[in-house]
Amino acid sequence: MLRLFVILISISFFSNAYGYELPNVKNAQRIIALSPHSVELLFALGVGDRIIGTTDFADFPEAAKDIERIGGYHGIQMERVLELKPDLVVAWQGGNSDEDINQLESLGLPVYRSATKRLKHIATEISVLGQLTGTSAKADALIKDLHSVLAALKNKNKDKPKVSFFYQLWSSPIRTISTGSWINEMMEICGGENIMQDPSVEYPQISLETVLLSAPQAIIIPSSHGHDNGKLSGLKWEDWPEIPAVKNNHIYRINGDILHRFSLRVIEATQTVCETFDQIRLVKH
Amino acid sequence: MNNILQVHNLHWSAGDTPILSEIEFNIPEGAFVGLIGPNGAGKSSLMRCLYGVNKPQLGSMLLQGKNLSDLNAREQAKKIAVILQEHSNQMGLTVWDVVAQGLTPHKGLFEWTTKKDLNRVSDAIIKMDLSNLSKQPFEQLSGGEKQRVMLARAHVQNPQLLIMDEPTNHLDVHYQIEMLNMVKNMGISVLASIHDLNLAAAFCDYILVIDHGKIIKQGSTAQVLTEDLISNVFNTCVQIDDHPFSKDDSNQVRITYSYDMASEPKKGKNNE
Amino acid sequence: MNKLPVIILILLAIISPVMALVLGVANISVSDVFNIVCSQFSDACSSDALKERIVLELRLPRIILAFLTGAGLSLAGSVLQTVTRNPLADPYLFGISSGATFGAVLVIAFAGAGLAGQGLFSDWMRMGITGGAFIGSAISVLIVISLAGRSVQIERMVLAGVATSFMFSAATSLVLYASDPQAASSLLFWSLGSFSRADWDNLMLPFIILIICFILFSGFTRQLTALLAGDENARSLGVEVQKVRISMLLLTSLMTAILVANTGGIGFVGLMIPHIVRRLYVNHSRHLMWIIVLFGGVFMVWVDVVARSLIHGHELPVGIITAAIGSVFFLLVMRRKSWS
Repeated sequence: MLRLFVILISISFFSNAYGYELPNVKNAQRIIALSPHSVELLFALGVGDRIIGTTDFADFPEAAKDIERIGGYHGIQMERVLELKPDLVVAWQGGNSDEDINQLESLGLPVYRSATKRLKHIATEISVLGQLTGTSAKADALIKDLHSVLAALKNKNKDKPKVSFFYQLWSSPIRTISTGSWINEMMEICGGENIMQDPSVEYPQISLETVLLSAPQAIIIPSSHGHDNGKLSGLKWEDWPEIPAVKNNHIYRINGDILHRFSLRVIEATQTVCETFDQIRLVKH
Repeated sequence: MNNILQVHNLHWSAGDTPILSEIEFNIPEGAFVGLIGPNGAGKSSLMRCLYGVNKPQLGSMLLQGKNLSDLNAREQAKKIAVILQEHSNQMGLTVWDVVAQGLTPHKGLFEWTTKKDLNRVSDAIIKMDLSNLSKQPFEQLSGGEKQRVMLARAHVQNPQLLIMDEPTNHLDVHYQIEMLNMVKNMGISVLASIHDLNLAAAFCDYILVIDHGKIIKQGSTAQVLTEDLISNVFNTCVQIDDHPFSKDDSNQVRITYSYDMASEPKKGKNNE
Repeated sequence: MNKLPVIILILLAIISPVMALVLGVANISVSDVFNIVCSQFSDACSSDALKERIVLELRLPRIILAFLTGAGLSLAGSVLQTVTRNPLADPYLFGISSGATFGAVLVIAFAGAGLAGQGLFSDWMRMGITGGAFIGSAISVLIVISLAGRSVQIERMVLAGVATSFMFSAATSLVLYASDPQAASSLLFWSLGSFSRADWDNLMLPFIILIICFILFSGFTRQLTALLAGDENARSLGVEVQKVRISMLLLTSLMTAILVANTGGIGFVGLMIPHIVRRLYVNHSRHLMWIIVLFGGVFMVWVDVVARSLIHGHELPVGIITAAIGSVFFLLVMRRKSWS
């Protein structure tokens, strides 16, 4: 109970920080989830069947593909949302447009704003969703599991030699993640050291020269549909054997869907990253 | 005296609208020929035919015996220079640059500008008294100065015939007289449309009168500028007498207008 | 006195590329650059291998591409302003840039979705983008000319150009809309312009086209100057106005397309540089084309330097810098009338 209390306090603090109240919903049955990660988390809580509408890119788990689409990156079909009579809308601050979210609220719908910015916010969201859908016990179990796996990974890798890496978000222009990005948190857990240490911009555009000079041991390329896999108009790493990652062939592709979503699949993602770094350490020494 | 230009049975329509018909006249070599007529009579259209902007549907224009329609733009430009009343601002070009435009028809695409060409431009600038202005942007000049620049450009172009479309418009009396005297001094054949009949009377050797797209009268200035004709064509009462400053050997006339709209011309337009 | 601004410009054109070679993320000094150049010709000099590669394979092609782009877009803008006697003309006004951008974005978006992961991809991609850009710009020029009327009136051309430009911008936005967010943001970055894709292979085409266009424009200098006097005046000076105007338009669109394909959309340069040069270099009209090419090139080299060194380690899109530096510089030049 104490733990729940602590979590609730942290939630209220968190929600106040974002300037809104949680909707007064205890056991939502008709849910519209406006982000892929919220859909995944609701399925993890065992209430995926209560989702009656979602957005274009919600494709996991398999069952999510059958949910009706009521919007996407470019906006939400407000009229269809009203027609579906949801008793909870899980919006995505930063993913959905502010205008859309404000309109949903002014229409009197119970809206929860998922405002995930850091790795820890996944637990926050699970807890809130558990509360709103009456599945708090399940939520606690999931959070405990998430924390223990991540803590174990962190513990296991904390004394290993650091692996410097370059994360190739996009190749043309070259864009990467900085230490200010939440994706970097997973890399840090595994003992990775980002070559882009300036956290001021989360996803900066940098020059090839910067990559050359910082000589990363690993190049991580998130791969999924819509990503260019580093081949688009001329990033040929093989031309630059001066980079240790290229010389040792340490260019790894990791599924971007699991790396870039605030879902429980970050466990799998972090494990994959840690295994990748372990392989690099193995070859190095 | 040889004719430098012979125009025979010229017809031109803008689309389906006939503008010029049965135009027939000659320009004697070295003569200053004035083209007069009311607004909309077809003066500018006729001149455009001569410098190649309008393509006549019928008739011939022979310049020194060569049909103008057979010449391309550059060959035409070597023989005919044009001065219009309105000027574009030339986007920052200096007086020197504008005068040098006169070289255009004489130089091939990749031909260098020679010392001789430069001298030609300098000579024209000196001749038209533009030396002080040569580095100034063209757009900053007064109307009279701009026309002097145009004359200098025409001088560089070194044509056989100079066509001027109302060159003295917008100029004050001093510049009107200065401009036409400069043209006279160039000593080339000129066809100029002129609104001010007294200027025409003073400077033209011959005059063409155009009305409704037809040349209705042509001849020496004294022959053409009669009270009847002017009153008819311009629908304005005029009186013509000898010019008080006229020298004994010239027959220069003075045209005086009645400014009373109520007074009917002696002979109405219905006489045509 | 009169020659001073020209001498300054020539000195800048020599010094700027060397300065640009030295400035950047990697710490490379002038003596490093000297050693690298020297070691190409003699065994007496030795240089650090990585520095050598950075200078020769990253910075040098980049600087050359920046120079070519600045020179080419300025030249294109100047010629367009002349043939249309419209001081606001630039490759954007006639839909040339937006047509090229649309073609390129379309190729990137479709190839990005359909061909991802194929071998030799980047070379095909580059050809595809260049081809797409040229086809896009050629279509916009054809639309503009066909709508310009039989007498090719400037006013109609400009109106048609503005409409075409908006049409292609809308089409580009549609492609961006249809792409997924990741790709859309990258396409957006691309459309803001960058010289980071420069390498020796993709310098050849911009270089050749710039030389060809420069030679042709130089040959037509008198015709172009005559066009400034107005269509009827130009005709009376022996210029075939329509033919000259259309061929100049096609040449500038070809040049713009090739530059856009390699650098993305970089606005404002074509509009601004010719104006600055005309104001600063009154009485240099006979050498104006040289001056515009050098000025545009030097300007763009410095824009790129700012883009890659303003925030350490970051690269800013070039289009933002050209607009920012350019507009301020432009306003300053408008305040000071001229140097002479």
